[in-house]
Formats: sequence, C-alpha cells, structure tokens
Amino acid sequence: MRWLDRKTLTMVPIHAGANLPISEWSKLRLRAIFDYCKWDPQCGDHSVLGRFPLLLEFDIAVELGHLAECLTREALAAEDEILSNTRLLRRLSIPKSIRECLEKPENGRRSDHVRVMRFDFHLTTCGWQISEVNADVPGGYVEASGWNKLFAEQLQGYYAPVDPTAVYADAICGIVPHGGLVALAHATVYSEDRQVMAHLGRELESRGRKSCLVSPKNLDWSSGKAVLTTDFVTGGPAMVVRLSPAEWLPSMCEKSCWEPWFGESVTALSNPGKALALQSKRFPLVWNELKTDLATWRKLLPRTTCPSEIQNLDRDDLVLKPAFGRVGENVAIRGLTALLEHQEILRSVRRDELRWVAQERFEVVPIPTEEGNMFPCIGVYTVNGKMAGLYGRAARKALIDQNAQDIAVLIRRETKRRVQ
Amino acid sequence: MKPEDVYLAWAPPDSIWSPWAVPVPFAQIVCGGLEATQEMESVKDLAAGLTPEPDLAVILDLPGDQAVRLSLALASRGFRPVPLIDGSPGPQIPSIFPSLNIARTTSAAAIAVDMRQTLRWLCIGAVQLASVNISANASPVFLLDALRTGIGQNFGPEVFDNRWKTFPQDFPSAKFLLEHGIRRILLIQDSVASPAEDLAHVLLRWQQGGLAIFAASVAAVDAPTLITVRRPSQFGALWYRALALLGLRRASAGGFGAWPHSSGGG
Repeated sequence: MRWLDRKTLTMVPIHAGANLPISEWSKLRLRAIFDYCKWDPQCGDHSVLGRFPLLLEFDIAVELGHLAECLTREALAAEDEILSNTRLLRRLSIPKSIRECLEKPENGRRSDHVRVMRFDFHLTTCGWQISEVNADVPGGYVEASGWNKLFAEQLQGYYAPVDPTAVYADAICGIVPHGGLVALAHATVYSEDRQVMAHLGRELESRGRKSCLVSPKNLDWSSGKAVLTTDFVTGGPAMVVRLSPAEWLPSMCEKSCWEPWFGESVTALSNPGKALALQSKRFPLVWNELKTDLATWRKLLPRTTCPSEIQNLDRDDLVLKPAFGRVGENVAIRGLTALLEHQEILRSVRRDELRWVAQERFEVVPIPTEEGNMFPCIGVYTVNGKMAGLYGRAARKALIDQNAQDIAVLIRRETKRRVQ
Repeated sequence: MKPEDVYLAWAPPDSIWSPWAVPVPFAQIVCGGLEATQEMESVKDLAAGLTPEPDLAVILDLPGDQAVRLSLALASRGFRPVPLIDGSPGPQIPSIFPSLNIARTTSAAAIAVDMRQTLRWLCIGAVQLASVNISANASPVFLLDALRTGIGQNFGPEVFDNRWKTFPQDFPSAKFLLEHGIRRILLIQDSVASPAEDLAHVLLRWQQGGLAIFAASVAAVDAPTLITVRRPSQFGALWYRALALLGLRRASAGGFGAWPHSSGGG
C-alpha cells in the first residue's frame, strides 16, 4: 500500500456509494432492460447490475480521460508502424489468413473509419494502471450509458459521465448522412451482442439514421462497398459497425465476406479489422522495435512478456492471458483462478506459448461497500481519440470476468464543467 | 400490453425465480389483441399428472409454443413458469425501432428459428398469469425452446440467424436450488431421450451437485424415469464458452461445434 500511504483517506480517488434500496434498484433494473436494452441482467446466482455506484472526484475523471486520450494517440501511431512491418504482425499472433490481408498494399483503403476503444483502469497500490485495451469490439455501452444515467437520477450531488453511446452515434453520424443506413454487424445468435447493437441502433435512429441488425455473414461486398442482399434487408449501408471480434470473422463466413474488413473496404467501418494489432495482448512484445513513443503505455501497463521467456510460469506475481481473450476469460492468476482451471491454463500456455502473454501482477486496492470489499475497474472509452465515457465494474476478487458486476460510475458535482 | 408488462407478468417482483427470467424475447415482443380465455381452453388438461412439490423443479425442453402452453397449464396447478428463452424473434425490433422500415416484412423462411407462436403464447400467458395466484417460492418450471438450434436445417447468408443455446449461467446453481429445498429435477421433452447437449452441461453440474435428474415424455409427464446425465463434449473445458460462436457455421461433418456465450463486449 505504498502509494496510498502518501494520501490521506479522504484523498482516495474512488469510493462506493450506499446500496440503493432493493425496491428502487428493481425499478432501475426494469428500466435498464426496456429503456436501455440490458437483456442479460442475471448470471448464475448473481445479479449483473450492482446496487451501489462508484463515486469519482471530478479531477480523477479528468485525469482518467486525459490518460486514455494519450494512450489512444500512442496506440494509433504504433498501429501504423506495425502495419508497415509484417514481421511485427507475426509476433502479435494474428491468424495467418488475416495477416495476409493486412500485409497487402493500402491502395484505395479508406482512412476515415470511426475508432472506438476502451481502456480498463484499476486503482492499484502503485496508482492507476491499465490491464488492457479493448481496441477491437469494446462492449459496455448499455451500462456506461444507461446504468450510469439511471443511477444519477437517484443521487443528489453527482452526475453521470459523458454518454459513450451518444458520442459514438455522433461520430457515426459525422460520416453517415441523414437518412443513411448503418449496418450493425454482430453475432445475431448472441443476445448479449444484439442488446448492444439494438441500443446503438436506437441512438442512431433518434438522429435520423436508419439502422439494421445483421450478422457479418449477411454482408456482401462489391468493389469494396458493403451491400445487403438478404431475405430481410437490402441496400448499401453508408457504414458498417461491428461487434463480432475481428479474429473470428474468418470462421463466420467466406473469405470474400470477411476480407474487406482488413483493408479493401471503401465503406466506412467501425472498428476496421486492423484494430486487431492493438487488441492483441502481445502488443507490448513489439514495443522495443517501434519508433513510436509509448511513454503512457509504458507507465500504465504492467510489464508484459512472452511466456517462452519465463522459466517458471506458476508464480504468484504473474498473470497469464490469451493473446485474444475476451471478458476476462481464461486469465490465470494464482489464488484467484480456480486451481483446476489454473492448471489447465498453464498446460495450454506451455503447449502454445506464442498465443499467450505473461503480465506482472498488480495489487488492486479494494473499496469497502455494504456488501464487503470489492475490486473496481473503470473502463474509459475514447471515440476518435477523445474521451467518451466511463464504464464501471467491480468484483469480489481482483479479477474482472463474467462474475463481475456492472456498477454505475458517477462524478461529484463540484463544478459546472462536464467531463468531455 | 407493453413489453415490460408482459415481462412483469412472467417475472413478478415477488417470485424468487424471477431474476432468471430472460428478458430477450420480451424486449422485442409486440402483443396484438388476444382472446386469452378462449385460447386457454386447449391448455387446461395438459398437466393433469403433475402437482407442485417443494423439492421439485421442472424443465420444459419442448418446441417453444408447446413449452409455453404446458407451463401455463402448470401455473394453474401452482408452479411458477420461468422463461429462459434467449432467442430474438427476427431482424426487426418493432418495440425498439418504431419507425425502422429498412427491413422487409420477414417471412418464416428468412428466419432460422420461427418464434411467432412462442411469442404469441407469451402474450396470452401474460394475460392468463395475471389471474393466477402463485406463491413466491412456488416450484419453478424453466422453459426452453427445443428448436433453438434449428437442428437439421441449412442456413445461408440470406437468412437471419436467431439460433441460441442455453448455458449453465442461465440457470440457478445446484447450491441455490438445494438451499431452496429443490432436490429433484424433472426434464420434460418430446420423448425420454438424453438431454440436448447444451442442457446436459447444466444438468450434469446439478447432478454433480447432488440433485436427482428425472426425465419424462410430454405424453406421460406422470411417469418419470431417473436418468444419469452423461458428460457432454467440452464439459468444463477452458474454451467452452469462448468457442461457441464458431460452431454456428455448419461444420464439415454436418454437425455443430461448440459455441461461446457472447462474442464482443470485451
């Protein structure tokens, strides 16, 4: 707790508010489902939606936003450099079929895609650190927009941070003209994904754009332009927004259907498939070969190495992660991950070290709540490089996975400035 | 009837099982005019052989509308229906996009799983359940749609794919069930066969947790057989959830692989 020793208790930059009474919380839950498309409010025996808010000082929200913008700027510069060096792409464990597309010359490629990212910040004993960036298909919009707003109505003296869905929709509308069509591509079989796209679609519709919910496999491409010719929708979308992970696309449809995501598309995309270079948890493994200054990344991301460089992987001070893991799945942390699962992950890592990373473990500072100590995480969105919202989660252990709860993040109203 | 009213009828705040009621179809439902009383005439005798018992939970893995109808019959006998249907009825969401007209009127052929009758019966059920008195901790009846994976059909890129699977995290744990007095699970299917593979992942966990699993055919719900749930492929595997989506394209062998629970949203 070295870092905290320098602060007084009142300076702790984040704390939990009181639990809402269950009757009030139940009403918010219902509104979250029907007003904001929160369709997965239960996971096993626990509610996905937390009963307390995370409360931030204004200056902390500004600091997190600034850090996320710096991280985005550095990351995009690094991405350009990586894409021009095919040897580096290989080290990121990007599947060969996708790499071959990314390695093609950039003739005719569109460059004004909308880029959205989310950086996951943790308050640790060494200050703020990040565990990762979701640079490909970040989720959490439903909660970071809807749940934050719903909770803000309940607490005087606090307000919801900027709404990431609104910012994202505004950025899309900057490209798609009024009345234009936006295809929202996702795995239609997953209601967890469909809820996010329905939520975004509603926001787009309120801005006078048309939207349709499709699977990536429903898209055709003609001379690089996306076309819809299904039995249920036809037309040429002015933009395609994606929630299916880029590395899965080759498994979802024929090459002609997924290849344009990685370079040939002249239809605007969000995010383009090249975001995979930053999504790979192995991104830090190529830092030393880049000219880009990654000072903020080096400061905030724990040291990350290839497991092949570490003699003993079964250690307390290491976190093992798959290069393309999602939602905290298959992350191994000794003492937090169930023993059998930890051992199975270790075996997987040893079998194929190039698909994993080993990260130095940081110590997250727990916050007291009415339900006991919880470990918070604040996701900070950027849209086209600008801070675009805050997404709170908290877990009973220092690992944010499917068992974590979505927690509203609110900012103390001590100034009239809003975090933008 | 508004979508939230339909949902609240199926998931009333006082039921201990309501948190598990999956909102997905309700958030996308539109209920037209219904003659619920007349429709319910055909349902009355479906569940004659079943009476709620404090240690019993039921799973209905039947074609969607059939599951809903039987659950309503069971509700009239004191059971609490809990819909776990996680599929989206179609590409349009009229309840959310009231002015969205880019999509054509969708025919059943353009959708992998036709849910129209299931939704119709959820609407009828909402009216019916409002008049039934069910205790807060009544024996639960979990509803699935046995046609959820669209088995045996070939879906091209022109079709809206709304198939789905059920996962252990969609249900209460064995621990929760035991703490609430549930000791026996009765699985009702078209015939007394092994449970569907996705459901076997749930049932095996419950079996390992100390619950007894019985199965009965819908034609003889009063003649259950004790079954032993066999280990399904990928049971407890690291990537079980994370692999699920990839199985949605047809494998070269003609079957489906494993599928993940969600894809994006990292």
